[in-house]
Amino acid sequence: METNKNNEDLLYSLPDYITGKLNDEGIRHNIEEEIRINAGFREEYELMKETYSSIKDLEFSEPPAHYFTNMVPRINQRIGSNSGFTFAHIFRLANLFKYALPAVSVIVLIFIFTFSNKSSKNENMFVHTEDTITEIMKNNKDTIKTIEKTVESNATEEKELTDNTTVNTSHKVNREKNTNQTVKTVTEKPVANNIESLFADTEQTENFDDYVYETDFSTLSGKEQADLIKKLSNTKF
Amino acid sequence: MELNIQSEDKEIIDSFLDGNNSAFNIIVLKYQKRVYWTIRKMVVDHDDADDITQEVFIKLHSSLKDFRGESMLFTYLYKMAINYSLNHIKKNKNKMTREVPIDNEFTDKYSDKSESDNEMEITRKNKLIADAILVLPDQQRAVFNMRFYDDMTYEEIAAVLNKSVGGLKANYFHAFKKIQAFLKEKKLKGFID
Repeated sequence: METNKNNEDLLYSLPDYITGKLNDEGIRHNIEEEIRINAGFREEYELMKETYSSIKDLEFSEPPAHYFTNMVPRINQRIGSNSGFTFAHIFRLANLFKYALPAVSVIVLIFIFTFSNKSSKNENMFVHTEDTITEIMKNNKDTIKTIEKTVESNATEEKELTDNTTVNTSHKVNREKNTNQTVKTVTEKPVANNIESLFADTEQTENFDDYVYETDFSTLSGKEQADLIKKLSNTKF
Repeated sequence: MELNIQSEDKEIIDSFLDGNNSAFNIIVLKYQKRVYWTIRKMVVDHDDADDITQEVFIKLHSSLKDFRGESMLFTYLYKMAINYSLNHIKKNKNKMTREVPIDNEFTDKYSDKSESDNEMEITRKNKLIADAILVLPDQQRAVFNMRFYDDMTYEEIAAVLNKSVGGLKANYFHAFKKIQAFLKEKKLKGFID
């Protein structure tokens, strides 16, 4: 492991050894020893030496004539043009907007989408509540009508029963003791009681009566509307 | 006392900071060749090197007021030149790392007999080293140029690139091996002796 590490160090120092830039005498000595005893290392050294001799004299092509003479005025010209607000600045700003604008648009769209969803949800909730109230009102009006009809039919029945009672009373005289009990039962059961028994399961009937003849919900005050809704919701028909 | 390219850096910088704008021209004249060649060996192409050289000096003009003189002015410029070159290479990675065939292009361009054989040979060699540099990855290219051409120590290179000395030695060795492989291939194809 240690030997491999040392060999790697020597290998990495080989270019400096070949180019004459290796200052460490110890490493130089070790490289020379390795070249002498290690065939693989020697081969690596020969190849690298050949590469070095191929590139050591190679040079980049010279820039055009007068290139360096004109450098100062060209740099000054660019510095001068950079100091004002130029097309380059506009171009840079345009580049900035190229990325910023879509990002801002997306954020704005997300906001609009989120808030429009919320408000439409609220509107829906409001419409739904309004519909529910209207529906309750309608149902209750139907119920009221039913009750009114029932009251009317019961009144008719009462009248009929009263007539019957009168008839029975007239028979009382005729039937004497045997029929007496029956007639009493009928006369002691007034129709009004029968009507009341119809409303026996109805809570707060007397309060409900306050609103029976109210046909237009919108004419009530806010408090009255709220009370009515509360009472109707507690009503069991 | 009149300033010239032999004047001390500090003297030139102080003069510039005192409002003498022509002092900046002296800095450009003093370092333009070294900066240009540092960049040219990195990016290879002259036009790219010219553009980056100008950018480096323009940047120096705007940042000279912040220059604290802790390092030498050329070290400051050298760092900028290497970093601007590395950025340029990264931006143009596909263009910079592709291998330019020296065979056909060279033959087509120089096949007319107007140039002497000697000139042709020089041009061919120039192109060969440029292409060899182009096969190197950016990091290895920077280390190879700094060590091989600019004779910088590994410690100096480490200060410019913020890398460890051990890693830089490995970079230099592998750069050599890549150039070796490139030349071997050209030799096998008969483009070089």
